[in-house]
Amino acid sequence: MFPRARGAPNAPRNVSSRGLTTRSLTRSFRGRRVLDEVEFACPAGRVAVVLGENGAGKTTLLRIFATVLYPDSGSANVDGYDTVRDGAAVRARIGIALVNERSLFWRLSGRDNLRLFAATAGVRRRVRDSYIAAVMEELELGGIADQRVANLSAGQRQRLILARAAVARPPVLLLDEPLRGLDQRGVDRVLQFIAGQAQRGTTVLVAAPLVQELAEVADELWELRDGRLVNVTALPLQAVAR
Amino acid sequence: MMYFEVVRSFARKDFQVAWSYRGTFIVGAIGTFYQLLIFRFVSKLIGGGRLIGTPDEYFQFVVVGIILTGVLRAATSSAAANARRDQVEGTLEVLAAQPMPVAMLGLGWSAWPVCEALVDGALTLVIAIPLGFTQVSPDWLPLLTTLVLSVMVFLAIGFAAAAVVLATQQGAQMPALIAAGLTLLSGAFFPLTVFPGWLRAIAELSPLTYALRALRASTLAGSAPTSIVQDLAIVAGSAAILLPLSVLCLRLALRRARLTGRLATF
Repeated sequence: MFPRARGAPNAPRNVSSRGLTTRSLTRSFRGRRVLDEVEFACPAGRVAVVLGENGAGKTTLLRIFATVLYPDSGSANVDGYDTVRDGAAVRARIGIALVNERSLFWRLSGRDNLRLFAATAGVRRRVRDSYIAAVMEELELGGIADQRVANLSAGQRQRLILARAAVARPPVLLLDEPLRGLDQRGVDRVLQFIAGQAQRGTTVLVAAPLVQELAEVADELWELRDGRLVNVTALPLQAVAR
Repeated sequence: MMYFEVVRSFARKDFQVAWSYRGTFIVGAIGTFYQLLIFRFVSKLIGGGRLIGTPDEYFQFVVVGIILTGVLRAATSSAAANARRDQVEGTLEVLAAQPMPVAMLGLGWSAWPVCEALVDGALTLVIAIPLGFTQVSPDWLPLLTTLVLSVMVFLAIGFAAAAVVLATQQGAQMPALIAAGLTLLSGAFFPLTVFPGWLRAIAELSPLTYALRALRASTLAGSAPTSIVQDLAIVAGSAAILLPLSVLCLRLALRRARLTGRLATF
């Protein structure tokens, strides 16, 4: 852990503040309010799935939690730490997987990609290789660990992006469309991965356009409509699974 | 230790990428040989004058200039070039979501290119010796101190340029212009005595001028050691001022990119 990232990842300010919350979170792009006074809470160790059409603002919400985008107003908190004020502490608590296979280093192997990001996440060298092996095993990447990313299939790259997010064992995972480009075996593997993370106490926020198989692992379902985030967990699945 | 691990991991990554195109190393070595050969012949042509000294003296002079300007180019341009590459390739956003301090990102961007330039410098020496680089009497402590302090100053310029790239999504070529300007002004390939007085006054504002002088004094035989301390003090002072300022610039630029949402666009 780097000194600026105050506190250990599993030691939040207080127990009640663990998990993800937003208050009146607002963000606009070129005059269009993508997030409009969003109120959201996901307790620690739960899987929240945020649904919404393309461009609804799901990824924007993830980016704000990941501190790579600041809100215009309102606040977002990770384990009680504000994403703007306490950026370093937040970054020490999250792992993010965005839909962008170009975000991997294609001339390197999958294992070397994970080595780099484990180091930048502050994972100590003596445990780094065991963390990498474990997450690759969990996502069925062991057999292709030493192949260059350029030679992997789209589905393998997608799973590698998830492995990168989880390699440092952060207490919060932010996953953007984790099932994209996967075959059925890959979907099953990733669903097991998400469920396994939640069982270990990891808070998982998933953004997806359709609920599909994610309903199996979701503890909470939210839907982004016109910039507003609505909890639809209690609704029948047919009402949200369009 | 953890900071060193981050920088080492970046350097390893860049080395692995560079090694996957290993033909570049061979081309680089041949290019170094050509460059030295050109200056060897130029030294025979222009050496012996009042300002330059003997052909051999000019060749020694210019070899040190070639080595340090190679390091200058690498240290000033790599952070901005790699920041731009990460912007375009989409790796910047993920790197910005890592908990490492921003200075580690800057150092990570620069680590391998600077190491490569130092190795190139050593290779240049090896190639230069049979061509006539023989009057060498290295004084290792001042030599290494000069290199370390010079790299710190050059990195500061590089970090500032990377900050411009992060904030404006352009300007990756700017460090090449700065490096060329400093090379011209600082007496890398000819002594400052050839400049008119006003240009010499400007040259004395460049830290590279002092770094080159200190490096020549600590490498070449017959140099006066007393001037090294003063030159090194100026380079160290420049590093002490410029490096924290440039890290601050980098931090502000990242903050601006987070505000505008430009980490993920190019």
